[in-house]
Amino acid sequence: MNDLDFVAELRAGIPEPPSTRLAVGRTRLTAAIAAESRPGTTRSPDKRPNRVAIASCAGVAAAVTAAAALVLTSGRTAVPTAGRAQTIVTAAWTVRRDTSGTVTIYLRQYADPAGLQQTLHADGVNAIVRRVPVAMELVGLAGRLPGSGKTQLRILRTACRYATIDNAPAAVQRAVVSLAGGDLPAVFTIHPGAMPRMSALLVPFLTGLPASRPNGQKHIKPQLPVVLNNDRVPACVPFSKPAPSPGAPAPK
Amino acid sequence: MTAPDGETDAAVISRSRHEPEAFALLYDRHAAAIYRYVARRLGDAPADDVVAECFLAAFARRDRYDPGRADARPWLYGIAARVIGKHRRTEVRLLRALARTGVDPVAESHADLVDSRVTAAAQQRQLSAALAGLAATDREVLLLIAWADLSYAEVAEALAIPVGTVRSRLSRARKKTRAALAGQDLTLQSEELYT
Repeated sequence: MNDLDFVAELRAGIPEPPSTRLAVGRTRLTAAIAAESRPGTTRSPDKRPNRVAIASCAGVAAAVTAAAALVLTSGRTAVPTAGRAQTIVTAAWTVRRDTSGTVTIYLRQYADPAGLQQTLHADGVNAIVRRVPVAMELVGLAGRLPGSGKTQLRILRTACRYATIDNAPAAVQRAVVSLAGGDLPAVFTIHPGAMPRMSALLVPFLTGLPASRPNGQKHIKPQLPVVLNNDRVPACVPFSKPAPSPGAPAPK
Repeated sequence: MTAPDGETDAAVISRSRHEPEAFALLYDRHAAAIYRYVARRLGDAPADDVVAECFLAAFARRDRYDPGRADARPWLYGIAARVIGKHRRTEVRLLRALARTGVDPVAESHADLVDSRVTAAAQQRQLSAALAGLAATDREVLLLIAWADLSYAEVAEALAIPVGTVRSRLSRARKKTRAALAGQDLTLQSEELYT
């Protein structure tokens, strides 16, 4: 991640504008168009913009509703640039594909996993985004603090694990995925060209994170995506239940 | 830009010379992206007027649009850049506020949608201070590339300057942003989560 990436990420969480805001501008433009289209009206090719703006302010509120219907979009802002870079932005994450095909995910919140998977597929990454629940776990009691009782020590951890995952060798993992910044917002860099044929990228998507971090919890570290040798993802086995070992008899 | 119906921006603009209402299609294609770019620089409040003024100016000047340029984005961003230039003091003030307090006044209005109330990371504060200290012309080039995803050639087209000037302005800007980020560890590696 270089300095230009950091600049690109600054204020990247600003979402696309609400339809009412765009409707204001469209109404002003519509008024200017209508003024020019009126019979007997001639247009000077070099109208100054401030004159047009002043002349078109009337009737903004009345047309907002009609114009709003025209500008409603899907909730993602696409900045397409044919054959080059492309950036898809949502409130939760940004996916940017640069000219070399490298895909960068700027993850601000764990939200819209289906949208993220669809966007990664469009960018050439055979991604499987799976929800992985996290759980708070009591690990012990700390010493007595002045004026208070015992302090509970809790940690956040994944509530399940992939026991029988068929992942690619470590060298492949390093070649495909890297992560900058050990906390949310996180920045994953993916090199689709380094992924072996028939492989897939498992992107764990943490769910059940607390709204506020518990005492002593300094970071919520995103889990690194894993390159799988195929696109078969085993079930995430809860820690409370032992993972079935291969060849073990099925429980009756 | 070419729409699904195959009509390029240039074709829409040409058509709007005798069918003015066709120009509204250009607004529908590009207003959201231009708005977001302006909002990232100035916040939501001025963005309403800046975007409206940008498209009104474009509509008034459409006779001068080069029909050989299929994609109108550089032209529109260039007009937006000139309008944003009138709000330069606002932009610098907002960047300095982020650098000083760690709270971004631009992102704060979206706090219900993004986690912007969280105090900005140290590198963001240093970066915003560096951006505030850039020459306006250098900042314009840097942000058109980083935030509007324009290429060097498109920035040159947008600002009506040679590509060599784009390169030199970007180089100057990046030298300062790199210096601002110096000492930050940009290559932290991940580790497994709590297991």
